[in-house]
Amino acid sequence: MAAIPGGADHSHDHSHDHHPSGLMRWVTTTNHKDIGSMYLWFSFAMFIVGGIMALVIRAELFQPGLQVVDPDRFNQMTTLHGLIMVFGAIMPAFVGFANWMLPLMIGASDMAFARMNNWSFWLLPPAAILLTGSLLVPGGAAASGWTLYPPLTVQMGIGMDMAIFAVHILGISSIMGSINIVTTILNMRAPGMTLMKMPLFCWTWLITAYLVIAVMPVLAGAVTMILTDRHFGTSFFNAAGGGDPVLYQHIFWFFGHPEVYIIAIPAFGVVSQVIPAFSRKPLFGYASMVYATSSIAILSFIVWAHHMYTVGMPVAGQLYFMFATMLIAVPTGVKVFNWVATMWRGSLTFETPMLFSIGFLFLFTLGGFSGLVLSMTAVDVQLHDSYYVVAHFHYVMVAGALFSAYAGAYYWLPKWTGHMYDEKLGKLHFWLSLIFFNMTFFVQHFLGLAGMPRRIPDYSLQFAEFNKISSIGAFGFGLSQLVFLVVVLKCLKGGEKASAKPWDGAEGLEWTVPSPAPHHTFEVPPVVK
Amino acid sequence: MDEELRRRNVRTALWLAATAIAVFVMFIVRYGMSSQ
Repeated sequence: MAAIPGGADHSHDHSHDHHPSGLMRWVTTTNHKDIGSMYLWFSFAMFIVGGIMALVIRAELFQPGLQVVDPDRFNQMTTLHGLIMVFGAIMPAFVGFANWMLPLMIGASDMAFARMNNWSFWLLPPAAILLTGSLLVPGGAAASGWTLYPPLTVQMGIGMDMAIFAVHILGISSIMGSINIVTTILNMRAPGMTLMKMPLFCWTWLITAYLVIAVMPVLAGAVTMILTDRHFGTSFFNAAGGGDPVLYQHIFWFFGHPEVYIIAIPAFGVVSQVIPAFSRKPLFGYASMVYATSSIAILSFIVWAHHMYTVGMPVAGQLYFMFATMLIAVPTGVKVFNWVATMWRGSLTFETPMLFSIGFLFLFTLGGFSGLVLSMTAVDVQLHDSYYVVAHFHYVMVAGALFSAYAGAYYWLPKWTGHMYDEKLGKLHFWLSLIFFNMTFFVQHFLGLAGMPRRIPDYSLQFAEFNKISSIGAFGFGLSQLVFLVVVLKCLKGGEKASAKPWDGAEGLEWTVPSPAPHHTFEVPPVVK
Repeated sequence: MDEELRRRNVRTALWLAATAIAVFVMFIVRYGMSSQ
């Protein structure tokens, strides 16, 4: 990162403002920092809701037999857990980071479309209400898994329509947010801030926003076709009417695989800010990081059918998707090596953001390796829809995206609140999360290898021990996240005052404004040399 | 925000929105209709 702040004059930045107070401040706000905060609180609330659903799943799977919920409700839990965590928790969390930090990092006064930004956020709560409220309607919520495969989705009750409508709303919100992000980054950078001088977090969000614009409409198209199959007599995916259920899988995964990177790439961006700061060295191979991230994004469009090797595919197709998938390991490897090289001979310290970043590095790489295992067609035919897959994507999603989100939250909390967080509690949060995460998900590799299928409420006796360990780990992991809530509330309430740049190795424009960041910043753009 | 920047922002946003709408329509028309 070569951005050198110079000439930033904050005499024009005001901490006072003429916005409404109370609830109306949050309803009507067009300020990127307020909207960023709302995104972050919303995502944490949804993380708790989705987490409770995960605990219902793990409580049911604590021992063989049916104890807690009936099988239909169990399927609703797995479906809503997936949808809520992907669209309600992880994506909004990183959009929250983007809202808060992108204008500060590029020296812009706000996002390009401040009112549309407000609308993007306020679309989320109705979608969340639709998803969670569908549990109360006759027939219950969608129970098809987050992938919403037909023919199940063509047959279900009104809960399915609510899920489809929620996905539409969430998609529109993401697309509007991404248009805002691309426009802000392309048009509103401070003088002298060339694209190759931007912090890597900005680059990763620029690439991610293009991905969202390219693939969210694909998902919207797919669920719209399900909707018309259900209610308007079409047969896009309904085999009984001449439709093709496998076509849905192709369309869904053409969205679904880039979606994985929509979640992972901003996580890469956060880690690329944190590791240099606590290594007290510039990021190793900045340009190669930009090109590697772009390569990952492009490759993500041509590997979708590795999610569906078992539907029946010509061998040539299987081979193509296998090798294309393996190819992604190359740019991903470039990134991992660059992060390690950044730390190499750095003046390292291990504050909480750095601990979460290193945790990310180890565990995301492990998730990448199990992804390589699954990329091999012959192996995947055995492991498809088993707990090995569940273990794999939780290493990518939880240890990848969530750990990185925590790294970012701890890193920027002083800038957001003006106070230093409680380092002891932060470290406790990290170590508890690390231990319980592995306890929950590492054993699931063994369950999958032994043949335990996913999305089932009951299982054979042979799987009992590992499931017990996994369930205990899940409850431990869930409770550990409350430590984070305590840290944030303590930090908001008070604590040691944070300076403008609380981390001595941190670089970038965001550290030139006071902590907490004033309501309006960079009304006069800084000059970057 | 000056007028020129506002116009540039709107132009960029319209291009991006048009892309999103085109992808949506293309997938429904091309792939959806193929199974009708």
